Amino acid sequence: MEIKYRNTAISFEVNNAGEGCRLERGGTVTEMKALAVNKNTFRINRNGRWTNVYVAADENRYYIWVEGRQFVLDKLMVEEKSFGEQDTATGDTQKVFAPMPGSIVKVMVEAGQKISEGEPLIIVEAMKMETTLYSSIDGTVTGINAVKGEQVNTDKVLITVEKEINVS
Amino acid sequence: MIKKVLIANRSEIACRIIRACKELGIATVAVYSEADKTALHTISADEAICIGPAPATESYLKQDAIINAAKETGCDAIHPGYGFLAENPAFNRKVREAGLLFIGPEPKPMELLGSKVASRQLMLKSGVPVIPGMKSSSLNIDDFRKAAGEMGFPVLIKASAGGGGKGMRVVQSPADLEASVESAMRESLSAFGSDEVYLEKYIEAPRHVEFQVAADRHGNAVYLFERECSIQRRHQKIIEEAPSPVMDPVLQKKMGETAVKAIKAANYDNVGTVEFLVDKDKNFYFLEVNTRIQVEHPITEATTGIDLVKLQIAIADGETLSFRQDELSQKGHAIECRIYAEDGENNFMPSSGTILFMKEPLGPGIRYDSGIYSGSEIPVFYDPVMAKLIAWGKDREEARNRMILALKSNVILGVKTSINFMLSILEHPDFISGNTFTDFIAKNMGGYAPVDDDTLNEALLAVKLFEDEDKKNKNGFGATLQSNPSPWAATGEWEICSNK
Repeated sequence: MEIKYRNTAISFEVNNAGEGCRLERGGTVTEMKALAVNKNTFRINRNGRWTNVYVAADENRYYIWVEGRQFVLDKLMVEEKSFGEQDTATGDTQKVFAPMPGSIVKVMVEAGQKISEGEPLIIVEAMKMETTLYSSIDGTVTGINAVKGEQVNTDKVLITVEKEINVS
Repeated sequence: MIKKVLIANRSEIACRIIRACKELGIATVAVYSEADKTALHTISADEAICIGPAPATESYLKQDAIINAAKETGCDAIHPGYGFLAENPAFNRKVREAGLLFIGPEPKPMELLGSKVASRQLMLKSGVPVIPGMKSSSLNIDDFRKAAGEMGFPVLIKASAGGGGKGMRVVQSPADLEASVESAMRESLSAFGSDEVYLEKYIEAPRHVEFQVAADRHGNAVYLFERECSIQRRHQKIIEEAPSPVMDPVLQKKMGETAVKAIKAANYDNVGTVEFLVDKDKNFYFLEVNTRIQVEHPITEATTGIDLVKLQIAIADGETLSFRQDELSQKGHAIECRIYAEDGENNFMPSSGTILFMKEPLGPGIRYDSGIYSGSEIPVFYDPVMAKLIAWGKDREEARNRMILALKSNVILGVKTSINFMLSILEHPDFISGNTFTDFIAKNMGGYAPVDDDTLNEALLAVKLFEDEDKKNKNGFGATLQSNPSPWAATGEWEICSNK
């Protein structure tokens, strides 16, 4: 199976699902026991102790509960495999997304403006709480795709910053 | 006699008030926004009236719509809960002018105590100790520079009309002052409709200790002891407890009597909370009075045995307090955790969505005041408190252990919650030994890692098991039923062949 956890793809195999099973991930095998209680509740035994683990899912994600610890795992969509992480890999372009659905309080930069790492770019508000988003690189603002008062979702690129490319 | 109450609020506190009314045989009317059509409070009251679109400014803050709803449904009183219009004197007056009872204090003391600047001046005059700071709010940044220069950094910017940490900023150095003042003003304006902010000396590593008070309209006033609310993030309380680990009988009596003095100075009636900061030498300073029911009121109820919401209703109805100060005592220890919809892996950003699955915690000494259920939506428009978990025990350790168990069993899937973060606080040695200061989280929780690799493996295995179960169910029923209309198929091919 393949899923995404915190923007990183994880692939794993489970053999003999049911009581007594082996989970293989990244070359490491973990031996556990497991029982299904109902469609959302599973008993899992690792290191001799049984705990209840709860799972629910919507179209895009799995939600898992292990004694208060929560995991949200993204289902891997076919189209996601072709693009996605180049930006973080090269580090030359920074795309600023809203961290949560909310409204734009203030856009603090202009297109073409040179900025340095740590400079504030935009302020977003959700649930009456303001969050300032800062630049993580030195560069030039090449795109502004947000206006004050606008309602935005987490999938919209609000601001693009690109590193200076030195042409010698 | 109050016979029918409109609850001008939403979520868990609206449900809490509905419950108190039902106990008293009082009819209830809920109000709701378009985003809350199927919210728990909407479906818990005897009647429910839609008062507008999702944004609070167009619904829960619409004074006339709320008062009209109360008149149309034949209510004789309005309970404002906390937040929204709870501390709005203009609303308080309008309710009374409409011939309804307002379940809370008179508008005048509310107005006086609601302004942090005016209440500070009153406390100074009445001999209640206060923190050094600006005498009034200002729109001029130079006033802030001057005041900060005089008392020295760090300083704290606060919203005059504020509460709950909104519009509040700690400023460490002169360079950050202007931006922080501007940002606090904006936040205050959007949260409270007022951009009045002021500045005071920031007392480092204090404890936040507040006293519950109650005064009737016949001159009787008592304190119902303290709550410590030092565990805060972004000035928002997340874990509260009663009694305070720092409390001793002498300090308790002194602070309690000061709290009663504070509300008497303002001619206050009904239930309220006097907040103090306590420094490391057990000096205490007046912060503010909250002229409403407090989020953390259940821990006082658990330790005193007094139902504060029913008390609010009785006082508003003109009744005399049914107990004297010397008849009150604290029994055992209670802790409250606020279950926020927020993402511990993403800097505690508010999280919204649908609750796909949940389990309410149960057990000895456990109380769950909730605004959610399996299938309910968490809208983005409002405060992210979904529920409050309260654990009572004969002592602090028993309450803490009960809380840990209850948190672990409070399964919530579909939105992220603060539960795991609170578990790691409750298990921290400094929390266990009662070293709780307002900088607890900054100091102790920096290395907070929500999950570890072994637990991730359990989660991955669970996903596989979930998928297997899901497939099994689909093969047995859904898939066959859709592809083949024969009624025989509905029983499931494999079911018939099996020997079960």
